[in-house]
Amino acid sequence: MNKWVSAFGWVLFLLIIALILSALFVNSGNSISDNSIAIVPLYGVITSQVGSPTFLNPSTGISSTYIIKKIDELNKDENVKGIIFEIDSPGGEVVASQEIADAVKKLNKPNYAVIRSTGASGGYWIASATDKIFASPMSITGSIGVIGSYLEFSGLMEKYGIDYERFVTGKYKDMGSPFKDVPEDERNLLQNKMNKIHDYFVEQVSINRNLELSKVNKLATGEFYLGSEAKELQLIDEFGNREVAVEFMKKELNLEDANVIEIQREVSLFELIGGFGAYHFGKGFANELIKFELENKFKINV
Amino acid sequence: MVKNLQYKIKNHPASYWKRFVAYMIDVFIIYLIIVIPFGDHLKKFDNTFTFLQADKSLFFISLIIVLLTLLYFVILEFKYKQTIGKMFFDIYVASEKGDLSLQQIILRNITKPFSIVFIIDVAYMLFKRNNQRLFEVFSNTLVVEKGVALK
Repeated sequence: MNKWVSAFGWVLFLLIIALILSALFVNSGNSISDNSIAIVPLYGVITSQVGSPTFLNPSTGISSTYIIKKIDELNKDENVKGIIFEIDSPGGEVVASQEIADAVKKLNKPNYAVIRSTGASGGYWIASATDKIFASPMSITGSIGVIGSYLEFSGLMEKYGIDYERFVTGKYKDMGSPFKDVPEDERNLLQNKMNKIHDYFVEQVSINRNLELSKVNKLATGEFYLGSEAKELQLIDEFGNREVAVEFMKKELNLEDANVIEIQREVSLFELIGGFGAYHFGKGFANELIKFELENKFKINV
Repeated sequence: MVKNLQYKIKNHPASYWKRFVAYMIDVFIIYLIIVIPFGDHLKKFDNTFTFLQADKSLFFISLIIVLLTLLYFVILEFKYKQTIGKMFFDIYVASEKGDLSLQQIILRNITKPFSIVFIIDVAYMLFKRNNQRLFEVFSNTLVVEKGVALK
């Protein structure tokens, strides 16, 4: 037989194997089975974008970009009857927290939050957007407030005779630069912006938790509340962990035999191998340098 | 006779560009017959940040793609001493020591599904006179032009 024909026969054979295996995956429970409750873990600092997880660094925090995408997928999946967000987060970027909270509010199926050790600030903002909040009496919650800070090096630079040469086309273009002392007008401007974010945060918590704005305003001192205190203050609804929340949801859905699936963020085999590569090493090194520069500028977090 | 054969093989290694284009053709075929059938599954996962069900489906899909990719090279080189890409350029896999065995073929192709390792493997070619990859050296194989006697 002509070797070309014979070789293409083997190629066809491999194609058939690939198609059969692909079809097996469809039927092997890869897709979420009927009547499922999805657990979505939200662990770490909330940011809009995070790096790729690798074998060496599997923890990358909460990326609003991907969480929103996942929330949307779960919302559209008819097999998912309810969603539980398991939160262990001290907060993070303002917009990223707001984006996730907004996505949660758009869900058209029951959704709860379970606060583990910490569900503070931006983490609490997200929790407040769910239908019901569970927490341990010892969990750290609340911390409704805004923080903005940076390290200011002007004194250190002066000590070593380093000057900050300023070239700007707008008066406030280098507002928040770590290389100069903060003038009073800039300090007021930054504080006003933070106040506006604070007011929005408080308003959202008030709407989400159906609490009077004045009450939330009183609580929004930035103080964190233990779960036991938070329940008295109506910042959470129930004491309990994931299992308790699942039982509540099963009862609400009237689905005693619901499957509980955990949506995990993991590293693919290709990423795992790629994580060792020189490219990722170099990229990581460069990212750290850029991060140092950015992290030392004025940043606002909730 | 053996000395003469080895002389010919060592002096007729396939050129870089033929090997590169042949490999690109193979990659294209692998994409068509192996990656595309799993496209719907792979679409569920972002390429930099993946969510996965507890059944670790992405891991198994990746593993299947790796094994089928390896099978493509191993089956064709074992049966014909050529892949489809190599057939286009009439270049062949040859053994430096005795008959080309299945073990040699598996060893020479083992790096192909793993891009990072494969890059290191291929980079070695630049420092080797016979255009041999590192794992071709390990497996005592090389890719030769048509006309070279094949065992």
